[in-house]
Formats: sequence, C-alpha cells, structure tokens
Amino acid sequence: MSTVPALEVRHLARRFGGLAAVDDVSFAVQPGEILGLIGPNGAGKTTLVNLITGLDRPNAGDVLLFGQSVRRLPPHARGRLGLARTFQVVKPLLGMTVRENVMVGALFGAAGHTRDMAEAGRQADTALATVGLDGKAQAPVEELTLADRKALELARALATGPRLLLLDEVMAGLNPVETDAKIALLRRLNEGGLTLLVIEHVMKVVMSLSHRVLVLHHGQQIAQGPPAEVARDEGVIRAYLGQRYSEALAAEVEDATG
Amino acid sequence: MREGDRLAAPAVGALTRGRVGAGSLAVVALAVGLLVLLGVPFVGSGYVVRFLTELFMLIVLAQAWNLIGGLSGYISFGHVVFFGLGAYATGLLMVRLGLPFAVALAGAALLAVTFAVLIGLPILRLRGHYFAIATFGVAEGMRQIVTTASGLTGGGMGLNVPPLRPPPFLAAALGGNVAASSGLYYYLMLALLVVTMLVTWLVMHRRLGFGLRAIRADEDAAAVLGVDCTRYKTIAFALSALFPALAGGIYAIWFSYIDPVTVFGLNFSVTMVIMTLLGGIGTLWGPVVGGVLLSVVGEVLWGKFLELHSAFLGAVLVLVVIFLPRGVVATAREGRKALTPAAIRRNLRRYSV
Amino acid sequence: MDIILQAVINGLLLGGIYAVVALGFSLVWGVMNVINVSHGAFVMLGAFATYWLFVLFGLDPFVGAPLAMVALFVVGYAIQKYVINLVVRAPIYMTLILTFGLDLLIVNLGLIAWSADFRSVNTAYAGQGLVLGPLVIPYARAGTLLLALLASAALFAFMDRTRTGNAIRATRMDLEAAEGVGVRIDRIYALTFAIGAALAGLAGGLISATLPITPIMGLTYTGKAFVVTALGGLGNMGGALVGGIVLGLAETLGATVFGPGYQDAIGYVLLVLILVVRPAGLLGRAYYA
Repeated sequence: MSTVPALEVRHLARRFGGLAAVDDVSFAVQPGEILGLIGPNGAGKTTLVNLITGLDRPNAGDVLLFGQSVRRLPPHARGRLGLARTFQVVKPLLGMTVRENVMVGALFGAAGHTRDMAEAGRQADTALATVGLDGKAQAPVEELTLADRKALELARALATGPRLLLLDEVMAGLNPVETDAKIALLRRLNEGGLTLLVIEHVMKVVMSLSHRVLVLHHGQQIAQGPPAEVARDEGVIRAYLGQRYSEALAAEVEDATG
Repeated sequence: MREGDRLAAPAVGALTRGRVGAGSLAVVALAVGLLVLLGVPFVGSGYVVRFLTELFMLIVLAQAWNLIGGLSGYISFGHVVFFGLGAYATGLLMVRLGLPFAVALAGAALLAVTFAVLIGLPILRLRGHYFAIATFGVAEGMRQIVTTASGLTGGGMGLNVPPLRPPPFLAAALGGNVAASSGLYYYLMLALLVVTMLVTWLVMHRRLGFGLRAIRADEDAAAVLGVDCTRYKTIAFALSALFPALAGGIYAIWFSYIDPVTVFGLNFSVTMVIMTLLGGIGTLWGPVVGGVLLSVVGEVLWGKFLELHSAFLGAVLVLVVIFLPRGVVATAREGRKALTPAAIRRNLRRYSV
Repeated sequence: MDIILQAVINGLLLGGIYAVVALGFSLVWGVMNVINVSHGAFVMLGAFATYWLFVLFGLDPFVGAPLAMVALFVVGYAIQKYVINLVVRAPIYMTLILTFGLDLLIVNLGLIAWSADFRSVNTAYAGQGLVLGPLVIPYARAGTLLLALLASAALFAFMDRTRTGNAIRATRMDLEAAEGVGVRIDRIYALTFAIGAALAGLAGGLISATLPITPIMGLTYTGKAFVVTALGGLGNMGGALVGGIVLGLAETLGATVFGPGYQDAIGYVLLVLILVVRPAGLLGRAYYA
C-alpha cells in the first residue's frame, strides 16, 4: 500500500563552513505516525527541524510535505500546507496576551485563511482548553511560567489546524505528572489523525510514545526503526544510551508495548 | 462551549486592551469630541486654529510612524522622507504641471507609496539597528538630492506653492476669507487625522494588526505560524508612508512654501518618535496623548528660544526613555503602582548592566 | 589627471579624519551594541574645546586636541556610567532615542552658549601646504592624518597588548563568556564608551585645525561614522580605517565627477547600498541582530 508520506526528507544536508550539522539524512513519516527523533546534544536535531520548517536553507537535498516539494517555499507557505512546530527555546509572542498568541496561529495557519476574527477567537479558545490554559487566556504571556509557555507553544501550533506537528523538546522541565498528562494529550491528538515528529531527550517519553525512532549523531542518522529495536542497536548504545541504560530501557519499552 | 457566551466581553477586552474603553461610552465620547473639534474654527482665535492644525498634522505623522515602528517593531529614523515627498510632489505637480490640488495630492500619495514599496523591498529585510540606519540614510540622502537638483525643485531656496482658495460657503460661514483660509487647512488636517485614526484602529483589530504584532514579537515564530512577513511588513510600510505624504501635501499648500531642510528635516522624524514614545508606543492613543502633551508643553516654551525648545526636546527624550519607557498611556494604566520608589528603581535597573 | 590626483590626496586626508571619527563609534557599537547617535556631538565638543584652548591660551590645536581627548574621556565615562548604562540592555529603539535626546541636548546647549556662527582656528600655517608641482598637501590636513594614524596605532596596541584591551575585545566577541571569566562588564562598558568619546574628541580637535566649526557640525560626522562603520564592519578597528579612507576617496572623487553638491549624498547612497548588499561590511563579520 503506498500512501503519500506526511513528511519526506531526501538526502538533506546542511553545512556550516567545514562542519556538517545535517549530513545526508533521509527518512519518511507516514500519515498518522509518531516518529521520535533522538540523539546527543549537537547531533543536528534542531537544525533538521529548521530545515524542514524553512527557517534555514539546506545545502543539498529536498523536503516534501504531503508529497509536495517545499524546498523553495518560505516558512509561512509551509505552515499553510499544514506544518506546525514548537520551538525548543520557547518563543512566546511578547506584548500580547495568551489568547492573542494562540489567535495568531488560528488566523494564519493552514486553516486560517477563511477565518474571521470571531471564528479565530473560538479556535483559539478550543486550543487553549485542549492544553489546559483556558484559565489564563487574558494573561500577558510575560507572566507565564516555563511549563505554561510550553503549553502555549503547543496550543498556538494546534490552532493553526496542522496535519503534521514537529515538537522540539516539549517535555523538558515538566514533572512526572505533567509529563504523563502531556503524553496522553499527544496520543489523543495522534489518534485524532495528527502526524507527529517528536524530538526528545526524555527517553521514557519518546520510546513509549513513538511508533518509530530515528537516531541522529553528528548530523548523520545511525539508526531507524521501532523503539525496542533502536534501544538495542549497538551504534546507538555506543553513541548515546550506554549499555546498562539501554538494557533497562529496552525492558521497560517491551513491557509497555507488550 | 460554555466559553461561547462569555466570548463577547473578553473578546472586546482582548482586542482593545482597554485602549478604546467600554464600548458605547467611548463612541459617544469620541463623537462629542469630534463635534467640538469641528466647531473650533467658529469660535476659536486664529492662533488656536493654527496650533490645532499643526497638532493634528503631527499626530498623523506620529500615528503613521507608530504603524511601522510601534506596531510592527521596525523603528524608522527617517520617516520624514514620506512627508517631504508628499510635500514636494504635490507642490511640483501644482507648480510645474498646473494640476489642481486634489489631483496633485493623489499623485503625491501614489508616488510616496510606490517609493515606500520599492525602498521597502531591500531595507525591510534588515533588522533592528540596521533598518533604523537605512531609513535615516534614505531620508538624508533624499534631502541632499532634492537640495541639489535645484533646477527641478528650487533647491535650497525652496519652492513656493500656490495656496488654495477657500470655497465661498466657508468664507460665509466663518466670516471672511482669512478665517476661511485657516479654517480650510484646519478641516483638511482634521479629516486626515480622523481617517488616519480610523485606519489605524482597523489595522489593530484585524488580521493585519495581529500579524504585525507577531512580527514585532518574533519574526521567525510568526513565519512558522503562517504569517507572510515580507508582505505584511511592506503593507505596513506603505500605509505608514501614505498618511505622512498626504500631510505633506496639505502642509505644502498651507504654508505655501516648502524647503528641503524643513520637510526632509530630522526635526519631524524625531518629533514623530518622541510623541509616540511619550504617549505609548504601539497603542492607538499613544501618539495622540504624546502629541498633545508635547505640543502644549512645547508651546509654553516656544516663547523662548528655538535652541531651548530643542534642548528641552532632548531632555524630554532622555527622561522619557529612562523613566517612562512604555509611555504615559501604559504607565498610567498601572496607576499608583508605577510611581513608588521601588518600582522606579526596578525600572531603572531592568535594562542596565 | 592632476585634478584626479589632487582629489585622491584630498580623499586620503579626508579619509583619515573620517577614520578617527568612526573608530570610537564602531568600537562602542561593536562592544556594547549601542549606536551612539550623539557621537557627532562629542566630536563637536572636542572641536570647541580645542578652539577655546587656542583662543584663550594660545595652545596649538595639535596640542589642544589630545587635551580635549582626555576631557572627553572623562565626560564619556560619566555619561555612560550614569545615563546610557540605564538602557544598555533595552530594545534598540530605546538606546537610539536616548542617545538622540542626548545629541539634541548637547548640540542645543552648545548653540545657546556659542551661537551658530562658524569659528576657525587660525594658526600660522592654516592655509599653507607642501607643494609638489601641481599638487598641494596642506600641512594641517597632513598633520591630522598623521595624528589619526598614531591614535589608531595606539588603540590597536591597547586592544591587543593590554589586559583591559583584551577584556574589551572579549566582551565584544561574546558577552556571556566574558562575564563568565570574571570581566566586569559595567566597567568595560564605561571604559569603552569613554574611549569612544575620547576618540571623537580627538577627531573634533583635529577637525578644528583644518575646517571651520559650529555647534551643529556633529550630525554630519555621525552620518559619516555610520557609513564608515557599515563599510568596515561592526567593531572592526582596521575596517574603520579602511572604510574611512574609502569614504574619503569616494566623496572627493565623486565630487569631482558629479559635482560638489552631491558629496554628502554619496555617503548616504553608499550606506544604504552597503546595508542592503553586504551588511557585514566589506571587511566585517556577523553583527548583532
């Protein structure tokens, strides 16, 4: 069965002087899938996301969104195609309230074209309720805690009505209760049809959440496959996980996924 | 959704953030204010009429600057260039081609907007300091060019522009041609001010305003959210050029004489910025409040020397930036809280090293 | 041909002045991310200080200018420490507006004190120069160029060889790293600004030796400083030197070709072009966003 992948990356490369931040990376994400992206710091994960969203230009390779090459498209055009992302270092829109922040997403995202202000407001309220920020809708974003700012990033991205969502370390800084709630939320969104690309350092999260995992190291992909498989991969263990942790992790993952 | 019913009030609150005030009361207040202003030429002295005409003009300039500087975050230090272009284009079209004022004004507006779009293409790609410098360079460069191309523009000697004959009904209503003359320019400027305020209000409450504020906050985030930053910035820039150009055209026939030093002068660029900053950058009423404050206080000091006036402006700038960075409007909204010594000390330390 | 050669000589000499004017401006911008719109006002203060030293005490401007430099160093230090420091980490429009206000204040106080009349430092050698066939090298201008080069060399040596100079360079390259290794940023900022003001004062003093001065002379020089900094790259000392010379040559040669009225316009056109085409400058590196 051949479905058009939600996201396809072909031989993508990005060099900074002599250093290859992303080095001949190719993979595909099927619609409805959750792909986890892991790797040590500096492995090139955020660069890769920047290339996919268009904030950075590749030196080689192509990015296809739902079968369409977007290499020449600026970021806002990719957003209109259904791509959304959250930023690792959160980017709240200062000088606006929480609700106004999310309304920007509702007004300009994939589904935003046809929305008027009232409709956008309603969409924003829905997104805020989904992430649990509806109580703080009128607050200026400057007043939010980090956890709330992360939730805001997510709400804003959801308000654009995306088909593919790139999440850059949304779990960082959350306590276990918050983490579990967020995992549940992401699973719900995914079951509703949203394709996810999840970058994470919190291994338990990415391993239990993802259908498949991609491992980056020094800009190259060193492994790709189901979480349990990747956790046992020699190269991954050497580069990133460490032997004992890998075994414990693999056991945990196998327990969780049966 | 349970939110649905409560949407109206918070929506208005969110969109206006207290700037216009509670719905219908504000509209009534505005209408009354407008009526008062319409009546001034009938009862006010020539001095008051002239003072207000200039005030209206300065507020238009400040509000236009506010669109690109305050709302969009692209601080322009040469915005006077559009005023000057409007003045000279209007004047030259009338003098050299004999066109009637309305046509000349329209032509000048078109020229200024086109210039804004063309020059905006390269310089709106610049961020922060660099954009500010580029706009300064454009304005100064244009001043030099207009001064030097004296064959066309009259150069440093300036250009004489034929004044407009006031329509007879105005002379009859205001009692004489002199009153009608100043009345005419008063109403022209007032009309421009009302249009400028309306358009700014519209922009702030529509998608365009949201997009611009997002651009101001974080252009990368805005782009990823789907905002076409280049397009929006260019629209804002073009709009911010239109109103000063119209003001410049009216100025040209009002003063009947324009010269490069005045209409392309740094003085206007600075005044626009100060007024907006003083009143509240990025707010609808900031330029108005700042304009009124600065004009009234300045007028009190104008009786003294020009240098004292400018030195005063300079001191105001320094003090406002240090103590009132968000302007009178925003600080006033905070009320008593903002004026405690602790609050002031906190403000002072916030940006220091 | 002679006209061109003379224009080249004039351009080089003019460029020397522009370089010294721009050195301090570029330094402050590169290290502190502050565009000192009142830089020209400091130039003017240096010029008037030198003028008054000449008129009241008979001090030759080439002696008075270094003295003015010291005075401006102190003034600059104080202004940064007590005024500019308050907004040094604020959004750029605040520093721009603050320094603009300072400029208005200083210039207009100058106008009140000294009126807008042009004044000249009339030294014995004022109009004279070295004559080489059809070409003339005015003594005063040559002296200015010499002193400018000396000052630049001294600055380079200071930045390169001394601990403080290295601390300044470190702060320019990476603020957080410098802070991390214990550099006192507030002192560095005050010192940097003081150096900038001092260089401006020196430039003003040198200018007074060759040109008439007036309280409103500053803005033009701020404009030149912008252009030279854009040409040479932010915080790039060598770039400021080269940029100054380039601007000087562009102006004099351009004036020869297009006519004298366009001399200043050339600078602004150049400025906008550089910003658009190569914001890092001809020699520069990345800039503060």
